[in-house]
Amino acid sequence: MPVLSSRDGYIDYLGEVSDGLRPDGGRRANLVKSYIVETAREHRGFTGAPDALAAGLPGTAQRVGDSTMFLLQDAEGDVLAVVDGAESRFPVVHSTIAVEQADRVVRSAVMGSPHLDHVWLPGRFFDGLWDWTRETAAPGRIAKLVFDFHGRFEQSDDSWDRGPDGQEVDGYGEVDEDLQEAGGYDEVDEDLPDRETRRSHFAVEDRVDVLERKLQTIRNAYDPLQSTVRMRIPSGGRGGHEVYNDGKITNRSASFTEQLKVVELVTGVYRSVTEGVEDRLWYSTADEHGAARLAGSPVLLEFPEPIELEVLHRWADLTFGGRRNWFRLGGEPMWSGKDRTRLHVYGVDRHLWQPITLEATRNYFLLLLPEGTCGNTVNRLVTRVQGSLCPTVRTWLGDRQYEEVLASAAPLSA
Amino acid sequence: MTDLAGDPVFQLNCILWMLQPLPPELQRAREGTGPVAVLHDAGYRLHALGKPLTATPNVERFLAAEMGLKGRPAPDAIASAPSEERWLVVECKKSSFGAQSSTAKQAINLLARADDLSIVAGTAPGGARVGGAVLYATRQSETKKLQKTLDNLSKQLDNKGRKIAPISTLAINVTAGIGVSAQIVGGSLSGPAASAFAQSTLVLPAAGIDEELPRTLYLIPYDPGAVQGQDPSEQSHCLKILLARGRAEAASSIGNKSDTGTTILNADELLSKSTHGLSDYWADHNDRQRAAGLILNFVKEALRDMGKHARTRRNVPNVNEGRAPHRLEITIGSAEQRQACADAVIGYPLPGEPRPEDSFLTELPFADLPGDDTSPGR
Repeated sequence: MPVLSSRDGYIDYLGEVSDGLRPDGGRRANLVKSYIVETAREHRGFTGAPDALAAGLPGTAQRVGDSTMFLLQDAEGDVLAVVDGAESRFPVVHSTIAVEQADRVVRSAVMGSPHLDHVWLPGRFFDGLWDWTRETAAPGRIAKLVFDFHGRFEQSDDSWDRGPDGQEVDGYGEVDEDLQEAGGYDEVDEDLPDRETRRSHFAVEDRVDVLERKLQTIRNAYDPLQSTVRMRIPSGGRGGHEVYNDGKITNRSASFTEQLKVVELVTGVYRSVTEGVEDRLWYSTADEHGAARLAGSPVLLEFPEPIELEVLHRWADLTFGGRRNWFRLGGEPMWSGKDRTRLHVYGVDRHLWQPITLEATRNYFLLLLPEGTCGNTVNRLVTRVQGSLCPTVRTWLGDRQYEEVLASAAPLSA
Repeated sequence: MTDLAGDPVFQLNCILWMLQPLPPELQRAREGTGPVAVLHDAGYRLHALGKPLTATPNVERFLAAEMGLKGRPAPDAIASAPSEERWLVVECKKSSFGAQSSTAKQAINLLARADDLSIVAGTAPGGARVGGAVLYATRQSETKKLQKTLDNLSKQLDNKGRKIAPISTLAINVTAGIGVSAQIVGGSLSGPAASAFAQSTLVLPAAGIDEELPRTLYLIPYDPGAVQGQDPSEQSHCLKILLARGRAEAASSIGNKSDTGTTILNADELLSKSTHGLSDYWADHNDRQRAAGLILNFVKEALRDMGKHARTRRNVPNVNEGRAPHRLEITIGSAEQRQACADAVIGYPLPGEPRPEDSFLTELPFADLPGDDTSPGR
């Protein structure tokens, strides 16, 4: 990407790249990828999202003019990406470099910094987005949904989270069509496991009206189809915008202006849900005329089918047995039951090092968030549980279902 | 075997879970998916913990003049009720008590005040009266004895022409492999609570047939007022949870900053955060100081251990301890060091877990800050 002197300059540049499609539908250049990341509500004193994103790079983050946009550069000074809205809770990284490199930059930065996280979009979030798409897109337009479930904790060894040299990897491991189209790398977790595990990966790409008639019936027939991980929203023109469950949005349309609108839509809904979650869930003590009133709501993740006990054990051993783990949780497990059937952890979420309290059994996870904890913790937990433990997980925020909170989140409800 | 059902901290946490906003049982995916918020489902909401019962001047005068009772009792929990029903005043007891004991005097004081909770509820003068009822929670084997004692105490007040609150006993039962159940045994309590607990009701299903001591998460990890009455194993368990929470708060305070410099861990603040702010309401300052000191010393030990086992001093921060207020001042030189420090704190074994060998030697300069009073006894 070029070195430009203003935010407007980059917006125009990204617009030109987006528009640079060949008449045959191919593309002249790499696609524009936008990654929504999260810091913390009101930052809690942290304003260094660009620096955190640049931490794994040879260069430092450089402000563009006097805007809120920053450059991320490599050792030669080439621009790898720009960070927009650096001072908001949800900065966005835009990049046109090869997708595997862009993914690596963002994912390494997130896993390496306690101050950054992806925005995690559970299946129910995509359900809300799909409902919105059905209502707003022309019925003949092509939409796409991708469902993925991988019973990773059913393996007996830990090869799934190790790279070829035995180093820890970030465990994303999903098939990424951007990569396939670019001739890039295959799935990360391609090592052969000792045991077979469940793995379901479905993609459906069809007209909006056809999907509206058929999709629900298909999804009701097979549980992993509740675990939506990606969706392509049809563009107003040709193509669309591919939204991933970790907050990445790939622009497959000819309009960067529209891409920004999709980013704004996803961010807006996400912010509304997350902040609504926080206000409702936080445990704190209010003064009741000199006495204490303890207020807050627990988060309950119900498993309609119990998970296997050994899966629960494996999940706990991998999650609380090492510093880097897929759930980003830490703490010491307190088991009860001779067969270790109930787990209590009074620990932390390593994103922002937030204290959390967790109960886990074969039948449910129960979570308590102290005041100040980022609601993203819930979103990440639900997304990961849905993708690896129980695709049909039902999430309750206190006595309200997650869908209720989502349904009332602006702008989907507007 | 631990008498879990008789432990007042366990009982109070069970009561609190019965009042949490959780999905009604009928709406859940199936049975066994978490604690059952029986009281919340019946419309009750937690009003306050440890709130003194203020009565009308008439009742206050009666209690002082005719019963020789002064001071306002502060029950463990008060819950508001749906519509016009009586609020619940809840006390958790390990066992019954003698009719002449100080606990009995407290019970009389409570019974006389609980009938009219209008002042406690904050009702404006002339507003609708808020009635109360008393529920004593105890282990099942003590309920009949306790109910008999409470009935006798009620009669004492009745004989003096006083209106008394309805009162019942809630039997808590822990059954290995089944779970925690509760049932109202005798007494005069009516309304939604009485209906909800008319039969033995499972409030926490066991997680498996082998689970001997099914236990909720502890919203209240530690209660200094209850420590003396706890079995040693329960005292240890509560302390372990308090230290786990304190450790998490300390790791959070260290790890969630982005800059270098000094991070101060204040013992009182750690304690407050570890108890969701409830320790701010503990009546005895000494209790707060003691518990806060336990947490801070545990964190200090974690940092000391980090220094002993570090391969390089690059990741080892400089730690100083101050006494007034009791605190640790941790000087962090890099982001890497900060994360290593937070990791060391959260990873330090809790009591009862395998611990590193104790040593009085340390590589870290643990010096008291100049000017602090470090004389013994503070």
